[in-house]
Amino acid sequence: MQIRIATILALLIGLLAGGNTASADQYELTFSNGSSWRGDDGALVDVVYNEQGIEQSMTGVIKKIDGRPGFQIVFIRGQIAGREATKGIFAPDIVSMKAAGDAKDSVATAKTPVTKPADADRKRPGGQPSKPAVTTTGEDGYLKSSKPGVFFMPWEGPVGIEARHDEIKAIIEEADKYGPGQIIVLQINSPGGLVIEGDKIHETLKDVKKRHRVVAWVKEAISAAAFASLHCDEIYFMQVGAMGSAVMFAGQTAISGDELNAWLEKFSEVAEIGGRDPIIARCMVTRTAMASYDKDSETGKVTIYPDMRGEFDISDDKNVLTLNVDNAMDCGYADGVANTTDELAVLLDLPEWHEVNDSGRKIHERWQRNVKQCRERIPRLNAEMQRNPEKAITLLKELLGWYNRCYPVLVYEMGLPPDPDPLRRQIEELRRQRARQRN
Amino acid sequence: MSLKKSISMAGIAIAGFAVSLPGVANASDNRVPVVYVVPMSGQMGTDIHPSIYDKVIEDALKVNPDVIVYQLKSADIDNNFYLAGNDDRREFGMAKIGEYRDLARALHQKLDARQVMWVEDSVGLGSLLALSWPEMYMSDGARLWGLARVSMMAAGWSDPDVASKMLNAWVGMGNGFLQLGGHPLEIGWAMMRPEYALSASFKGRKVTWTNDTAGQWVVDSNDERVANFSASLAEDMGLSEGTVENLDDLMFLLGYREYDEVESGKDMVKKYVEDWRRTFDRCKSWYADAQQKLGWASGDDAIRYLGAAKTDLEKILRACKQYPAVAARWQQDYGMSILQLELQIEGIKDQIGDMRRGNRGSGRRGGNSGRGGGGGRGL
Repeated sequence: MQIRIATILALLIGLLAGGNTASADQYELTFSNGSSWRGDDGALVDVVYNEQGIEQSMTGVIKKIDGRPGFQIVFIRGQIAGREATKGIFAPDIVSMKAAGDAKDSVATAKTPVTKPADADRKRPGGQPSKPAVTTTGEDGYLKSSKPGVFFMPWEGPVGIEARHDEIKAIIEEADKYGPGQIIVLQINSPGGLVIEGDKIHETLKDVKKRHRVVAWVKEAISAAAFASLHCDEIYFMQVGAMGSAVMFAGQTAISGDELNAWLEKFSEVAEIGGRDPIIARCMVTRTAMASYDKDSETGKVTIYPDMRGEFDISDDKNVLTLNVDNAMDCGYADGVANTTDELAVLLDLPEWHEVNDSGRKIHERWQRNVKQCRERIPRLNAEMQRNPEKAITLLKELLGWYNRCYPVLVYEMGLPPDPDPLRRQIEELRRQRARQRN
Repeated sequence: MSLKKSISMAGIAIAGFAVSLPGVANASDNRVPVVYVVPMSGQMGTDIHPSIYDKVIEDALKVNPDVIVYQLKSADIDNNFYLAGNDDRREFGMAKIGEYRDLARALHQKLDARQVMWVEDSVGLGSLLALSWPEMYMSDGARLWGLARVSMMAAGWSDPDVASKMLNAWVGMGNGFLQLGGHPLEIGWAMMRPEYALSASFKGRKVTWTNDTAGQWVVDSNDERVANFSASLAEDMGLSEGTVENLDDLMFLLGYREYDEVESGKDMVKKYVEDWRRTFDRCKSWYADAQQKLGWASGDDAIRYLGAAKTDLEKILRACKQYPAVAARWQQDYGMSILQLELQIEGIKDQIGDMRRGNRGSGRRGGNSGRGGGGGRGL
């Protein structure tokens, strides 16, 4: 009996803890006058709302927000008629909502609701907590952060499997909500990967550079990851950083002839898009390309040659190029060295490191978690299939589901067929067999 | 535990020099400096594993020492008297370069104190760690060898362009460690790639390294072997700041005539190494027991023996999850990953379930899955 009670208690505690976790959710509300509010459960807010035609106000803590967009109910706990109570306010009735007691920082009009600081806000280097940022909606309809900051996203693992185009696209979409001119920082740590992913990345990065400032912060950018990095407006290295070795190959063999020429052209184009000399980029693509440079000792101007005539060697005709901090900085391929976000903030000309929100980290974590689950689940599915053939239909349906959830791991890493149709047919066939057996 | 130490008489006799040396600790500061020693001893990938150093960092942050000394003693590829009981060739090549890169970065970034690398001996990937710190001292007779291992990681590609891609990718990652330590790329190329020569030219205190034999001092002219450094060569070339016999020597050269040594880091690492190795030995015997019990699992006692075997395997699983070093060795010696262990356990559970439902001898088996080869073109 004691054990049962303990179990029930543990479950209840788990449920309560689960309730707290939910409080980390961030909400976005748009009000009838065009203003909006973004924030989390637990935010202390001043809210003005209409009730039976009368404008009322209250201050309280957001307990939760329920309902579908446009029809949400905001539950706020605060003082109502002299006592502590929770009030549900229909979102369309809200005139304005802003962080409590922060009228100066929030603009006084209905256009300027405020939020809690983003989770990603960090302390200043000296350990002093930085002033919280507020997000408002501007007259142009874009969100505005009160502090200059970045959209930061780690981009890690094999390209096309863990480091994908989809996540880059997602962080761009987040930055787009704030209008043009945002800073997107991709923290790159990847050994390279699939060419097909490189093509998609190329199109997206080429396009986004027209409206945002895109920054690569390189720990490891090998092969396809070097290709992605070269698109960026700025490339900063960590002291341990390495970038290059972008030979394209199939099976055991490097591409050659027209295919290689096309790849060299594309790589050169990408380097130029990023404002860098294509001669050095070509050395990352093929062993026989060469690069050296002279550097004016007074002006620091670098002149790059496609052979070894320069005073400083970059790459001879026996090696594919991988740059490290020293040579990347000296020849001007890297714009700076930053080992920490605070150091990076200085290089980006920001007063301090501030992430406008943590969506990039969440986007990254979500996909990484998905990949991890897939890697763990698929071998189990396989084993279960062998142990319990009678469950084959259910298990195959789950496998089909994984095609939607985590296609790259299934196809490129585990070697499953790219087209799941045979799987669908197999399920149908099994159903027919079962039906025949029942009859 | 804290030990207060004073430099020996010989040290005191010449300590007068210390105060006049540039960059030496100020003697007028009455507080005895605290040194925190972090051992990095044994095999890379198992004994020297990032998992324990996360805890060491936490501890060092609490201690807040003036000096942190990394005491490196790792020679992967030959016999060393101090590794006599421990020099297990099955543990070679288990180190993951990215994990060590993150470890070196974390130690640099999270700990504020002056950091010093003391190489007692290093052959293999440990030398990358050694070169990750600008201030390095070596023991008499110590080696800074074995970075040919890095280029060996890229072996096996016949196409010259692909081979060069792999080689330069690995060497580039290896050179990241040297750059963290403020060492020039030329040293890394020569230490990782046999065909690169190495020489140095001196202008005052400034040393210029080149990958040829044109310098004043030729370190390596052999195009079939990588450059290696003995303690004396490293000191002559300015790569090592000095040669020391023990911590007293080192602290003296660092300018401290007396110091307090906090040994909690040493104790943590020692305990970790003892624990994971003892646990791994237990795993071997649990596995032997499990195999025996699985062999006995038939007839009326089948469920009992299957259950007992499952319990043994679960102990191994817990050990693998607790100690990445155990998991790595388990994979190496028994060819089983954590996932494969879990699948085997689940298979046994199913078998027991079947038997309990009276479905004995149904012939079901736990299956392990392998990974198929990936498709697509690599970049």
